[in-house]
Amino acid sequence: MGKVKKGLTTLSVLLLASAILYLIYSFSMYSNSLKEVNNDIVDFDNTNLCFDSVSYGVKSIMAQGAMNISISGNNISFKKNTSLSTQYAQDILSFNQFISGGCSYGNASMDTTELGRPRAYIMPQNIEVDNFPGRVTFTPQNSTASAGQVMGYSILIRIDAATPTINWTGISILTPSDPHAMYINIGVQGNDGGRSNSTYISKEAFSEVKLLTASNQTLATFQFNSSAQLKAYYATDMVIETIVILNESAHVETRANIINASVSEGITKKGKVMLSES
Amino acid sequence: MAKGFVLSLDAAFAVIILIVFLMAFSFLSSQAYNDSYPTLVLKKQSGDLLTILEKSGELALANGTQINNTVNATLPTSIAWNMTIEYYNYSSGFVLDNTISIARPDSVTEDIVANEMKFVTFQNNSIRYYGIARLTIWAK
Repeated sequence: MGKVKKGLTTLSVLLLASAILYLIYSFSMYSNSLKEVNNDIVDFDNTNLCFDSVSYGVKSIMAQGAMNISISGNNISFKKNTSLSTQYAQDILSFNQFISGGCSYGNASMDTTELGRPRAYIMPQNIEVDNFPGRVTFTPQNSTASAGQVMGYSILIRIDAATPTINWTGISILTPSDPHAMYINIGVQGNDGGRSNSTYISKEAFSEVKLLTASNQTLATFQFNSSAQLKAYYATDMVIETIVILNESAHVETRANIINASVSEGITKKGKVMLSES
Repeated sequence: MAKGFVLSLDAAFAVIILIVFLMAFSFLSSQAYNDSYPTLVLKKQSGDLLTILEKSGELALANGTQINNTVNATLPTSIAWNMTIEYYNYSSGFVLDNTISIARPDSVTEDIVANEMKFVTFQNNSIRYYGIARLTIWAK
């Protein structure tokens, strides 16, 4: 009986000691894990700084060479100097090479295929602005839903030549009160003055206007098609500012995940570039 | 009866000694683990400062005196710092064109933080310089 009692006492003491040991071990681990949170935040900070500096660089290069975007109320302006397209493409490639050497404690990369042909998105209306060589297109992606938010386009052109004429080669005119009507304004400034033309056309039908020289040479063609789409073709160097007139505010961003930043601990940030915020 | 009491007392002492030992061990190990909070604060200060210099366009101006004044005005006087900015040209490779080195020196302490930012500057709508700004800061 005495031996059983001793055995039970010893067992109890051992169990108690183990429980206390485990408790202290758990407390120590928890306390250390709390301190490690700061290191994790430093890593997140490194990743964010890396991502933001690349993102800001891309935004600056696009603003200089591809398109300068600004927002005034519900009007979003896309200004493009067509003569800078080649320089823009070179700048994007060399910037990618520059950042691929890594940023502080980490790595960064960007999607040069996507950025080589910069596409911007007017959100939340989801209108794609595509910079293709020789043309710029504005295409509402959700058909009538996003096209319904487009109230019109104002196209302003500066050209270093004699002022061209504005010629509608196909037009589907509507009254301003028609629910399918959108406002179109075209203004051109050349070396010998300016011209402008304003009208309301159908969002759902084809219309076309051309800028012609005195010898009937086409300098630029603007086509409007269903639904509220605009295609601007240019055949010479010029500055084109296209103002998209919406019925609500918006912001502009690039396609998703064109930048990837990471630190050695495995923290990665992927995302798009905010080109303009409302 | 007395034997059982002595045995229990012995066991209790053993447990107390074990607890003291473990607490001392835990305390010492926790002290050995550096608290990274000061580092975190310095890291955020240096990152924010680099962002300010880039967004305000001062890195693009490449004026050492102006950058020096801004950094001194932005960071608390209890912070010492060292900054190097390198400007590269691109012609079939990156070629170092200019370097700016500025500092508010003091003896280096344990908590020292380095941060780095890459940036670009423009001239006539194209990239003029590819830059790297390296900032090291520490509490005096």
